[in-house]
Amino acid sequence: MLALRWTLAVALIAASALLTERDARADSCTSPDLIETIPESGATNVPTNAMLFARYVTIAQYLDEPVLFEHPAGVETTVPATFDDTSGLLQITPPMPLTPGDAYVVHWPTLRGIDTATLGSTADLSFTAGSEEDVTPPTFDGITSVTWDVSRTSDSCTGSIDQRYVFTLGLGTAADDGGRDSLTLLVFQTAGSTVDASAPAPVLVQRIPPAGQDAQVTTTVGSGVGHICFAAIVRDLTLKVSTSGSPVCVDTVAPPFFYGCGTAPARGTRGGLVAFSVAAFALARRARRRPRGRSAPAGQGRGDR
Amino acid sequence: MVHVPFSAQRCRSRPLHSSILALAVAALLTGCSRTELEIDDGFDLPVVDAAAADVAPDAGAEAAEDAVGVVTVAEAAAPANPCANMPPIPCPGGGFEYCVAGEYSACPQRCGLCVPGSEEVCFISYCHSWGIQTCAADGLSFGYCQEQSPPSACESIADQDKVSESLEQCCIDNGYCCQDQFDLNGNGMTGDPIGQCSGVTCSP
Repeated sequence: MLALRWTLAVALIAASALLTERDARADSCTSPDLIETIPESGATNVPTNAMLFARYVTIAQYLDEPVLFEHPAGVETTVPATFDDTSGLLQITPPMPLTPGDAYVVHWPTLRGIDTATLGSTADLSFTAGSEEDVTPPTFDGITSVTWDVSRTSDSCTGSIDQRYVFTLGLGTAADDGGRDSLTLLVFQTAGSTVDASAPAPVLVQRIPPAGQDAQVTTTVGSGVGHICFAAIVRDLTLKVSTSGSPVCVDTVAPPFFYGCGTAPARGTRGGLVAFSVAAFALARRARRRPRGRSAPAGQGRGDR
Repeated sequence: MVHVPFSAQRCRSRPLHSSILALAVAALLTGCSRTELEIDDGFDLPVVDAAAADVAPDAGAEAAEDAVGVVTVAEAAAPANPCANMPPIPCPGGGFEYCVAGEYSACPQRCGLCVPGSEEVCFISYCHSWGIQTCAADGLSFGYCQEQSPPSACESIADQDKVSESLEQCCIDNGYCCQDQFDLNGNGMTGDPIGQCSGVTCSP
């Protein structure tokens, strides 16, 4: 009898754990959450002609849910919004030019996802208007470096281990008369096995990271192997964009790979030649010295013949 | 026994040090980074060094090597502003084509390959010949094809014809989003989705 109870208890615990895991997987897989706002909540000196953005997970669908714009006096008005489902950006234009120095709040809606009634999370955007309009396009030094690695993580939707290339992009200096922190970063892959060189592929849209921080782009192993190049632009709150600068490239190798040193005789012959030449030169020098068998006087420099 | 003065030992050891140093430098030039492993056999490993490989021989002069040996190279310097007269162009499905390094970008898509969490029917040569694969959370790939019982409308076809064009056609006819294993849409590709795939594919 006791054994039966224990068996039932263990089965019950296992079943509840399994159900909990399945629920978590479904939620994290399909929830159309709000990821960030542009500008960030708490922003100050927001240009008086700014448009405001909320970025949702790209499975989000906008079905004309109201976006509430709260004025300093506490009055809320519903403002029209447009949704770009390719980037998940919900965009509003404040109903009137912002008053310099006034504080506003935008209540972004919760959205539903494609083929699901699950509501995502949301957030409010509080900001203070600046005193100027944004009139000039932003400036951006572009991507300054690319490093890469391969990640192997368990996917929350499929439950399987997925391999991905993760490219870490160093960003150059960005500036705008509306403030750096309100810029949107747009990254494009300009070269790669799955990219048309004459039409760079958009691969990332997000609020620009704080100065000194990197951005990350994830690709499949198929599209991330070989000669890979990226370029980026920034966009301000009035949709003016910077130039991209030159693409920055890196060569990747397909996993599995070995972390270590190699002389790459097949493709990278330069390093092998240099190593061979230097080694041969050093050995030749030693061979010339050895038969002499004389010691150098104290204080004499090397190579003195 | 020959006594070698200390000063001579010092001097004699110098060429050795220099050669070791030179070899070390050469090894560094050669590159410490990721070397691809060949998994066909365990002994013949082709050495393809990412850092030492000719990273963009057509590229510009800027090259740097970071701590893990990854080379980053800027492409040849572009003219001052090749995009000066190329404003963004609105895309029909949303977003813009932007001028990037002198070329207009492609229009953006909602996802890389499939809508995260969406499912399509796949065909698998096990007992039921029918399965479901789920799109990954990042929308970049599908997971494994997991076998399931086919719907009743396709059950007999699955029993008789197994994985076949007729089973794929049955999948399409019954309103599923199906993996086009037999190129029934005639686009020259296999594996792309076919059928009712509005919530699966990245384009609307």
